[in-house]
Formats: sequence, C-alpha cells, structure tokens
Amino acid sequence: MPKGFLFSFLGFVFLGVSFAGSVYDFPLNAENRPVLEKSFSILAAHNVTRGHFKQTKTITRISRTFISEGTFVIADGNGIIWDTQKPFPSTLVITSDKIVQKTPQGKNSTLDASDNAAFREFSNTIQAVFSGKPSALYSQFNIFFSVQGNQWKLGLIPKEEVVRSIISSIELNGDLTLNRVLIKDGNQDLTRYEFSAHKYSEDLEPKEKDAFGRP
Amino acid sequence: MLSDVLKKHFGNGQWNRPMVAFWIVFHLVLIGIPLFLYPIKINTDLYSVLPASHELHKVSEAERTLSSKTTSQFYVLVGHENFETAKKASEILYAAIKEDHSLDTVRLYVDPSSMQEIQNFLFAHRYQMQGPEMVRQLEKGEVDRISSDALSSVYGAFQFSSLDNLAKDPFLLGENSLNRYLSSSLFSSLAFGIKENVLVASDSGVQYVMLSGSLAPHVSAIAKEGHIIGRINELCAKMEKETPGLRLAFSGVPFHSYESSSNAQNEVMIISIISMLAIIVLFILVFRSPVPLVMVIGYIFVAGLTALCCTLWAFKEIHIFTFVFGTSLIGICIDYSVHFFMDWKSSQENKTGFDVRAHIFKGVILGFLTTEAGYLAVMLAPFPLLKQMALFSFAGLLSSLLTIMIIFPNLKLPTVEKRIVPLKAADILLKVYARIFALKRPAWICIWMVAIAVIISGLMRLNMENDIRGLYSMSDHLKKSEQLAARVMNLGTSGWFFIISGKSPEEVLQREERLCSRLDAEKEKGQLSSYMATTLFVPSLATQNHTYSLIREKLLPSSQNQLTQLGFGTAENEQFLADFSAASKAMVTMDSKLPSNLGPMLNTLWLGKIDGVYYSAVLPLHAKDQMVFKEMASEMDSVYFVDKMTDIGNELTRLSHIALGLVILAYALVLVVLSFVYGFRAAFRIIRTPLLACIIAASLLGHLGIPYNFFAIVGAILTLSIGIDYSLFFKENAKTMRTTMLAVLLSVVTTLLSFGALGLSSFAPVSTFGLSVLFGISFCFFLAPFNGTRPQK
Repeated sequence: MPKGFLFSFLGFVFLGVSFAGSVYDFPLNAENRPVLEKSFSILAAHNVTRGHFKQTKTITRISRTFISEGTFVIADGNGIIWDTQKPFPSTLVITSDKIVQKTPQGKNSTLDASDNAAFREFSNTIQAVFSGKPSALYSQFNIFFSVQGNQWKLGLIPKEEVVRSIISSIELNGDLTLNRVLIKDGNQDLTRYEFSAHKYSEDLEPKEKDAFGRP
Repeated sequence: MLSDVLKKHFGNGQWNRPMVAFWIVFHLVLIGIPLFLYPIKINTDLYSVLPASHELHKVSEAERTLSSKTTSQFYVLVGHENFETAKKASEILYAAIKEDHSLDTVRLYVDPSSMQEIQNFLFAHRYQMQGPEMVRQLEKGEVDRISSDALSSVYGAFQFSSLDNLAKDPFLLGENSLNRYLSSSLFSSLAFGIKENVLVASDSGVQYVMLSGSLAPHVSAIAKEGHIIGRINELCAKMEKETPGLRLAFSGVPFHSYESSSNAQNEVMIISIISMLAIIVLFILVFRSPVPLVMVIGYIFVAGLTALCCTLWAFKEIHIFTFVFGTSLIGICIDYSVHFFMDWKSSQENKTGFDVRAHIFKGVILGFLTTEAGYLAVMLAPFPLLKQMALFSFAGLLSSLLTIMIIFPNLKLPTVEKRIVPLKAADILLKVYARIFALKRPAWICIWMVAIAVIISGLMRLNMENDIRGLYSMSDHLKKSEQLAARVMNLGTSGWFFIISGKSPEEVLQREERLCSRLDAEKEKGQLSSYMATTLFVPSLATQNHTYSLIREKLLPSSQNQLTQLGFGTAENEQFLADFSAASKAMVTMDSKLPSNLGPMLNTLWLGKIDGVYYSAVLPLHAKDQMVFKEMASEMDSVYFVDKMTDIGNELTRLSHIALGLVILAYALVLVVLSFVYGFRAAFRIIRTPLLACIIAASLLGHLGIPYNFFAIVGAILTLSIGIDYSLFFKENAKTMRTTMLAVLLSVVTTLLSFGALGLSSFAPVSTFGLSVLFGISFCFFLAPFNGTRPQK
C-alpha cells in the first residue's frame, strides 16, 4: 500500500493524536486540507499583523549560534518589513517587486524582483510562508500538516531541487497566531523564528507606507 | 549520331575553325579550371549580403565573429497552460534532437548544482572579485561600515548564502559577490525561473519551458532535405497538432535563415521555370521550329555555367542571392539570340548564317559593350555581393556573345519558303506608334504636361532611405513567434552593442571596465537595466590586484576585531590571514576554470584574438536612448559602438550613390563612343531612352510607396545597361522595322517575365530590384521607337 495513502488514512483516523510526531509524517491530503485552510484563514483575517520576533541561527559546522530580535510587519498585498533591532540593526523590506536591505551605517541595497525570476521566487516564497495563504504554497512546496486542538504544524519541503539546495525545509507552528518558524537550509543549519506580542490593524502606519514605497 | 545531328543542322561549309577552337578553349578554361580547383560552395548567410559598413571596418572581423556565435544560437519555447504538458512536450523535442550531429549544443535541463558551483567560484575569488561599490568603500576607508554591514547580515533575516564559512569570510565578501552576481542575473534570461530542473517562464497564463541550442559549425543554414531546423519545425508542428493548447515560439537566426533560404530556393525554381516556359512557348509560336529553342537552351546553359564558374574562380563561393539576381541573365542572353534568329528566320536575302551575323553585328556589339560597361562600373563598387553579381552577369553575357558570333552563324539556314515569322503583333504595335507619332502639337503638349506632372509628383514621394529592417520581411508565423519569444524571454538586448579592442587580453579587460563604470552610471540614471560583459566574471588583473591590495590594507587590520565580534578567537584570525595570503595567487583569467554555466555566455562575449588584436563585446540590456551610448563610445579609446542595421543602411546609401555615379560615368563614355558612330544628336537620343525610363520607373515606385533604396538603384543600373540595347536595335534596323519590333517585343516579353517573377518575391530586396527593372525595361521598350527612327503609318 502506498505510504502516502496509508498516512492520509491514519491521519484522518488519528487526527487528534498525530501532533506528537514529526509533521513530515503527515502529508497534506483531502482530509486535513480544510483544517489547514481554516487555520490559515484566521492568520489572514487582518490586513496588517505586527509583532515581535526572536531569531536564533545555529550554524553547526562552526558551532555558533547567532541570536537577534526585533519587530515585524506583515501587510496583506504590500509585503513584509523585518526590522532587526538587536544586536546589530538592519531592516529588510520584501515586496512583490523588490527586496530592500538597509543598515544604519548607510547600506541600502535594492534587488529588483519585478523582472528577476530568482528574486521574485524568493520574495513570493517568503510572502507565501508568512501571509497565511496556503494556496500560494501548493505550487512551490510539498506540504505536510498536523493539528492537535488549536495547535497546528505545517511542514514545507521545496519541490524544486535547486531550491532544496538552499532551503531544505520550513516548519511553521501556530494556533490563532503564527508562533514559530523553523527554516533548515541546504547545509542542515537551523534558523528559528519565535513570534510574540501580535497586534492587528487594518491600515499601515505612515513610516510603514514609506518603507513599502506606497503613497 | 552527334555527327548526323551536326551535319543536319550545321555545316554551311564555312566553319571558322580557329574561332570555334577559341570558343571551345575559352569555355573549357573558364568552366573547367574553377570546377577542378574549387568545389561549388553556396553561401547562404544572410549577413554576408551586407557590406562591412564604414564605421565597422576596424572591428568588422570581431563583429563577424560575434555574429557567427550568436547567429548559430536558437531557442524554442514550449508552452502550455499545464506545466507538466509543456515540460513533457519539451522533453520529446529534446530527446529527438539531443544526439543530433548537426547541433553543437542542446540544453533543456538546468544542473541544480550550477548555482552552488557559481557560489563556490565567487567565494574562492572573493578577494579579487568585488563590485565597484565595495571597491569604492574600501578606497574611502569605510571599514566600520563594511564590518557592521556584515554583522547586520549575519544577525539579519533571510540570507542567500550559508554562514558555514564565516570564520574564513567574516566580512561576508563572498555573499557580497553573490548578491552582485544575482543582481546582474546573467546566467540565464531574467524572466526564467527553475522548475523541475528546467527553465520556465509564464506569460498570459501559459507556462513556457525553454529549450536552447546552437548549430554545429559545419552546418549551413540553407534549407535542404533532412535539415535539423526543418526537422524541428516538422516535429513541433506534429506536437502542436497532437496536443491541444500547446504553444510554440521559435527564436534565433537559424529559423530565419532556414525559412529565407527555403523561400529563395523555391523562388529560384519558380522564376527559372516561368522564364523557361515563357521562352519555350514564345519561341515555338514565333519561330515554329525546334532549332532556335534547342540552341537557345544550350546557349543559356553554357552562359550560365560560365557565369557560375567565373564567379567561383574569383570569389571561391557563390551567394544564393547571386543565383536569384543571376536569373536576369537569362533575359539578357535571350535578347541577342532573338535578334539572331529573327533575321535567320525572316530575311530572304541571307545565304549563310554569317550573313545573319553581319546584319545584327553592329547592334548586338554596341548593345553588348554598353551593357558590359554598366556591369564593369558596378564591379567597381566596394561591395562584394554587388561585384559578384556583376561578374556573374558580365561573364555570362560574354559567353553568350561569343556563342552568338562564333557558333550560331554555322547553323544551316531554313529554306527560303520557310523564312516567315508572325508579324501581326509587331504590325499592331507599329500602327499604335504611327498613330502616336501622328498626334498634333497641342496633344503632345498636353501629354508632356500630364506626364511631367505625374513624374514629378512621384519623384517627390520617393523615399530614398536604406532601412535594413524593412528589407527582410519574415513570415507571419515566424514574426508572431519572435514577438511571443521576445515577450516571454524579456532579454532586452538591442540591435546594437559595444566592441572593445586591445593589444592584449588585459588591455581589453581594462578598457571594458572603464566602459562598464560609465554604464553603471547610466544604469543609476535609468538609461539601461543591466548589461552583459566579460569583466563581471573576469576582471582585469589590474582591478583584481587593486581589490586584493585594498582588502589587505583596509580590512586585514580589522579582521581580529571582526572575528571577535562573531565569537571567534585568534586561531581563526591566523587561519584567515594565512588564507588571505594564499589567495594572492587566485587571480582569475580567461584561462581559469570558470563555472560551467557561465561558459556559453562568456564564450559569446569574449571574442578573443583576431588578426593579432583582442576583442570583447558588451551587450546593454533594456537600454533607452541610443545616442547616449553612441556618444559614450565616441569619447572612449578603442570602444566601438556597433549598430549594424543603421550603419549598414547608411553604407548602402553611400554605395548606391557610388554605383549610380559609376554608371553615369560609364554612360558618359558610351555617349562619347556612340557620338563617333552616330553623331552626338543621335547618340543622345539613344541614351535618353533608358535614362528617361529610369526616371519614370523611379517615379512609379514613389507613387507605389516602395522605397527607392540600394536594390531599386541596382535595378536602375541594370535598366540602363539592358535598355540601351532596344534603342540601338531600333536605330540599327530601321529598314526592317517590322522584324525589329517583333525581335524587341520578344526580348522585352521574356525579360519582363523573368523580372516580373522577381517582383513577386517575398524577399523585399529581390522584389524591389525586380519591380525597378520591370518598370524600367517596360518604359525602355515603350520609349525606344522614339529615338529618331520613327515608324510610319
């Protein structure tokens, strides 16, 4: 019996107790797909989500961990602002047509994603992961999903071999909010994002509009 | 058998043996030697039609090298709404052609490790390969900024490269190089992403998979049975039929060369068949004997073979368009034979064929000399293809004259009672002319006024530009295909580019870097989006040394501090310094092992050593104001702005003027010669006919909105060369006006049929040339009787 079929069958039967295992044991199927979409619809209910993040990069080969923290803004239809505040400040703005990186020292690099497929794919992937719109993920990832109570886990493995050489897998954890993202790169190094202090609004603040280049 | 035939039709008992021997030796030498020395090589390269334009002389060889590289490349976009279907179809096509010996390269799949290979290459040469921005920061001593930018990246979010080598690269110079590379996006088209190991782009909901390839150097683009491009076309057509919704787009010169050479071949065949059929029908109708027809076919064959072999001898090859234009030789050759056979078949006084020759001698010789003078003049034009066409016609015509004068007179004459030709058509025409000549003065004044008004208005509408873009009109299918491919691929290349020369690779690279820094400045101003240049991956040694020295002077003193901030100790710093020292030998040159994915691009851009000089090319992408870049090149040493299309257009205009000037000079000489024979007044009347015909033809082209370009002028030159014959024949044969009118009519009809067919060609230059001659010769015929020897009612 194909493994996928077995898991989807067991996933359906033991949906309530499946959360303890690895999310990658639970491929997305017709049964758990509505649950995923319902969970994500809660995430995408607001136009603008703001919050605090803590980032922990673990580089196994050199046995180093780099911890930083800051704030984020996820704005539906606009993009993402990633404002790292400690220990070294920098701002990353990702929109559908550009990726802008700024540092207080004056670095201001803009990567044009409008007609560059590599940047466009990167920008779309990041926005798809954080936007709460699973439909944007289906074409790019093999998707795994498990849920226990109101806690859910979403596992993403890039379909493309070339992307897998850069990002091996992405795991998202959440309930009513997105709480944690684990990104494993091609070298199996792990970057963990923990989100807290979520706040929601329908409109962007003026400086956020500036960052997105909106009038 | 042969001797029986010869005895039956030849043998007036007056064989001029020395002359016949001369004719045989002449043809044996001109046909035999070239055929023995050179294989028949047909050049089908569209680009070689064009002259090396004046502006390009210094770099024409380099430009040709670049053209030969780019003109062999082709792309097929296989599209479908469903990606899987598009990919499957592209895989079928790939499987069918991947092992083909006609192809040098075929690419469908992208190696997933190629990105890693590029990343490793950039990391290995991070101390030599930094962009202008980093070099500027180092020159300014902005070490703190470089240091804190690196720390911000390490602690920031979403990186493109791994931090595994952080101890070896604490300033993230490798990542800086990678970002610069990704921004330039040179490894493939900007619009394409990688999906399931193939390049894919989407347009209007359709997913297009790209298959690229290049023809092997030994493969000609000429269309022939089993040609790889033909097979690709057939396979794609079959797939399109079998897979609903499949959309295919083809791009690249091989598709155009294949289509145009295929058309040229078909056209040559059609034009030849029409010409030959017309000759056969007309000859049988007029002469009612197979002898003239058989003789003329043999005579044209010998003239054509002589023309071909002489051209081969002089040029080592023959261009396909010389064949197309050369079909006009048939028309001219027939003129002389028609005059011979008209007298042969109609004159009751002739005793032998030599009497026929005596009757036509003066007219044919004068016609021959004036026509050949025109060809000689054209041969002086500094344009190889034009020289080739002129030599082809010159040699063919010389052969035809020798055959008429040496071989034809040996033909037995028909019996006196059979010396009849149908003169009805000639009589009708003569009556028409007699009525025209009988018109009263006021009628003439009215006709002249109207004619002058119409001619002047046409001349005022004449467009004398040589726009090469307008000369080649691709088929609708290929045009739509190219438009779709351009939209999907969004490469942004212009028709123009830069070529840089130097005495050594290093000099070329340094000059290219100076150009690139100017292009970077224009990029900031929005004049272009990007550019493709060799130095993006192989900077000059001077720049690499400068970058390496700057890093040693500015960054190395801060390395311990940077590593400490990243949590490393003195051991890592010592290793870092040792690595840096060892990297002094890691200079990149054109001989270095470069990432395989960059190979095809660098191979195109780096033109290498040509005649002792090194060259490279820089291709701007999505550039706007061409003048900005032209001016930029003019200000820089050994940097050439190459806009082939515009340069060639200007060059063709210049050549048109030169060629026309030469023919006018030849005409002046003809006027002098004819003045000695007929007196100035009569000579002027003879030459005014073709001159007027050319002016009227030009006016007509103006009315029709057809540009009076180089090819129309070549047509005018031929009109001047051929058209004068009709005036001469009328002048020389005033006593036998009926047969002369019939002979000229027969000549004109056969010539017009040949050129009329050329006028139908889908290739604009051939069509323009054909129409120019068609109109010119028609008016020559119409005006020829007005040369002073008026037919009477």
